[in-house]
Amino acid sequence: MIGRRSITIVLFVAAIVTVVLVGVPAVLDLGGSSPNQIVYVVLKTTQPDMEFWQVVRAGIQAAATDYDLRPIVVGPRRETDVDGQIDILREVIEVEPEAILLVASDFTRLVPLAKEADERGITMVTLDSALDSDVPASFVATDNVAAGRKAGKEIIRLVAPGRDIAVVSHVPGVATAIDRELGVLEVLRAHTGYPILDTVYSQNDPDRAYQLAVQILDSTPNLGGIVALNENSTIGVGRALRDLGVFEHVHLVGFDNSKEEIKFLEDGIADALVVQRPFNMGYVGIRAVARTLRGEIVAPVIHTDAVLVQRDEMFSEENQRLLFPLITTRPTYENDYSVDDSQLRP
Amino acid sequence: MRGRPRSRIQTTIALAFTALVAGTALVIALLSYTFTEEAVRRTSQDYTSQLIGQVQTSIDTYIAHMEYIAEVVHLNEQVQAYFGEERSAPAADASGQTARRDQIISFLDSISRTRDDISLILIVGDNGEIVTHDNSLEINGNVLVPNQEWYRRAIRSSGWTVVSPPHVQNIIRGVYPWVITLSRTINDRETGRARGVMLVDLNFSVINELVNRVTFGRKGYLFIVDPDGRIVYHPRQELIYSGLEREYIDRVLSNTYGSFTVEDGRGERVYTVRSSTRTRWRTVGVAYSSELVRNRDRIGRYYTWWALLCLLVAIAVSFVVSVYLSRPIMRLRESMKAVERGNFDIQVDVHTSNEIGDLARDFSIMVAQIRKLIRKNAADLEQKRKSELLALQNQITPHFLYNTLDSVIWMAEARQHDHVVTTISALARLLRLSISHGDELITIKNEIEHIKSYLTIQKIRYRDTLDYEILVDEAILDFRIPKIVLQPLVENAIYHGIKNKEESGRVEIHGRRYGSEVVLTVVDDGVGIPEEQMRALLDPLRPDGAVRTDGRNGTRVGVRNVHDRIRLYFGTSYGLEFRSNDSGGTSVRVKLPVVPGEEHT
Repeated sequence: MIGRRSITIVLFVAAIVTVVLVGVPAVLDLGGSSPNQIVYVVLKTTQPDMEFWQVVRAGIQAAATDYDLRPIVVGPRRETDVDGQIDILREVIEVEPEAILLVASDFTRLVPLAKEADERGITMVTLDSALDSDVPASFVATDNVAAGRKAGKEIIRLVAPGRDIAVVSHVPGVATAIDRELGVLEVLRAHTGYPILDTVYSQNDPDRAYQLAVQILDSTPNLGGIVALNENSTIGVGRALRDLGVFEHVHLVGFDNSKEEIKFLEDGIADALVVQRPFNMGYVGIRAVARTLRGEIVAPVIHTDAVLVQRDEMFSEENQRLLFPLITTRPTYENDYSVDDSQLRP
Repeated sequence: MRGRPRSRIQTTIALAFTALVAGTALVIALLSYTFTEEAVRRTSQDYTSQLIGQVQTSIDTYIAHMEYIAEVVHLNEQVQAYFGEERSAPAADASGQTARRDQIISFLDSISRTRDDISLILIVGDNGEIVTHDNSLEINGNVLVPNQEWYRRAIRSSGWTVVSPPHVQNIIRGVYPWVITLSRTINDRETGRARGVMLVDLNFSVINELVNRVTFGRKGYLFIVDPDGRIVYHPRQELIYSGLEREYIDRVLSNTYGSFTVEDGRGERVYTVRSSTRTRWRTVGVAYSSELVRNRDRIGRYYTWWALLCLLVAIAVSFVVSVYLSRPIMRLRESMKAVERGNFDIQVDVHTSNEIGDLARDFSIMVAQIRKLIRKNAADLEQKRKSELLALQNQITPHFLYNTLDSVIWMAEARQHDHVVTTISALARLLRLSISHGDELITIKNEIEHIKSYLTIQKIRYRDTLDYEILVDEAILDFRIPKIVLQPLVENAIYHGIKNKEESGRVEIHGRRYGSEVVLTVVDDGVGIPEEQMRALLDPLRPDGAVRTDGRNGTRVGVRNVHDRIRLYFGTSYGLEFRSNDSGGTSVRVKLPVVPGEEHT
């Protein structure tokens, strides 16, 4: 009788233990909704009036919602503050987040930090500006060669054959300058009958670009068009064309969409602008992070496209979005964690 | 036996009960979960629908207010005078028009100041003259007014207010605000002819913010399209334009009101569409099905808890119930086992008031009954044995008595007094020996005396034809044997061996001890018994020894009884043994155990 009862009791206790062991974790489990993985986004600048980066952040936010990530956006105030970004990135690495989306403000100086992040198992993706390292899982940026081609095609469309075409670039050796020039020249060379002047460099200074444009206009009476490869170059060249009153004869295809450039476009000083898609860049950047974290294979270079906006089309439904970005960052939970300065920890 | 699973009833009850309750709990939990989920989903959808309705109503109210403003401007005396038919009338002098223009500007200015979300109020006359609420604003010379959408649509729907979807307003030089434009023609009150177009620009950021705050879950969103399918507001507009994502605008346009479900790579979504009668914009709520039931996990956990609790209670209850039900059965079974082992003196220790209790009581009664019957049976058996013995002993006496008395009568008639005396005295001795002792065992000496008396009588009856001799070892005379063992054998020898013989016969009685056995032998030299008949005499299958070759079967019965009695007393290894002699006669060996005599004889 004793043996029998103890067997039953053992069965009974075993049943309860089973129920508790199976049940309690099932009940206490948070339903698999593990807290979102944190991605630190280290920008070149977090200044609110930097429209381009605001739109990038909107894209980051949209993708983060879609891919269940929690982005924390940090960065120095000024875009040129490389040391500031290095300090911030160092601090971010100390936090050891799941991933970092980095817009490198310098091609080489952040490389040691990227290595350290890699050693700590932090996933890294670079955005817009590359890093001289094979640590980042992917590099997401505008396809600048394709953008250059678009500018090249447009200038050919505008300029009658036989007239000279000048290219005003910004800084020699800089990735965007190289790629855009490559694209432009590729198209121009494919069309014989367009003498191409030697590329000049504005050093990213509108005044220098202005001077260069004036010099070219002086020395080249047969000039039919200028391709300016970035914002400041376009502004300088545009001002020169306006001031010299030659914009009706000399065509300008520029890059980017600053207020002044838009005004040039509207006034006919510039004929077309090649505009990037910062929202998409941010979105694709975070998507690349999400896919890397999931263990998917991500292409080492992901390009987002650029759009050529012509004067007649500048107020089309899509183009006005690109030229006059409306920041529609949705209020989400993640917004609470976004910090503009170097307050890193949530 | 002990190693086998024993508490089978208990386990069965416990398992069945647990399974039953677990199953029921599971089914109920699942049903409740499904039901709750459905209810929550419906509530969520209602909520989505309501929210969309609210957004739409807000926008409509907003637009309605602006339309009202447009109406006020349109009906303004100065506006009518300035832009209407009077303008071309000869009476209109230049200075009066200039004064009117100033009045209109200050009027428009005061209206624009009532709301800070109005970014621009502008009237353009059909002569191209433009008046705005702020005279300091510079008109963008690059803008061709007749090409502007707001202008064209206003002219097309003369007299009605039209709402253009959000766009960048570039008519003022140097600024590019995002606005929603309300426009309508200025119609002359008298003729109804359109004399110009007015617009009211609303900062899009107002609507943007209004809609922006509306979310459905984490990923759900709201968007607005105009009847031409152009996006008024969409949080993911950039993705749609660049082809990273597509929106189901065609399906939205074919639905003015209602909802549909879309399933693609991004997960199942429910589109809820509402259309405004004022703007004809479609407000669309997109909710992810996975998020519709926001508390799905919590609901699931809630029901899991209850199901588990039920299961625990079920296990506990089934354990108790199974013990309650099976323990009496166990006890009953224990008692039955005891009875099976032959122990009838048991008390079934079950005191339940259910059928098992009844069963236990019935079993107790039954065992008691069996106990009583067994005892009665034993007593009966004893009685039977005794009476049988008695009958046996008695059987001899009358049978023999008649014969002897016959002989005595015959002798008395022949006046053979000596013989009569001898016979009667022998008979008297015989009878005394038979009757006097109540004991069943007597000494061999007494038995010999008894047989001597018997043989004396028989010798007188059969005269010269019978001769006998008793050769019994003196050492065994005090041993005890059942009484009247020899007489039936001698009788048998006389009747079957010697009586049928032509010449005289002889009976010898031997007695000796062999170890722990005493063997008495009755030997005759008569005609012998056939082998088969001899075997049949002691065949246990024929308890009567019924081989009736003649009418005199009495002695056979006697022989048989001797055999049975000995075996009854001492067991089956003792009894009689028949053997044919070389001389043709028969010898019967009586094998008995040594039973030493007691002091009294």
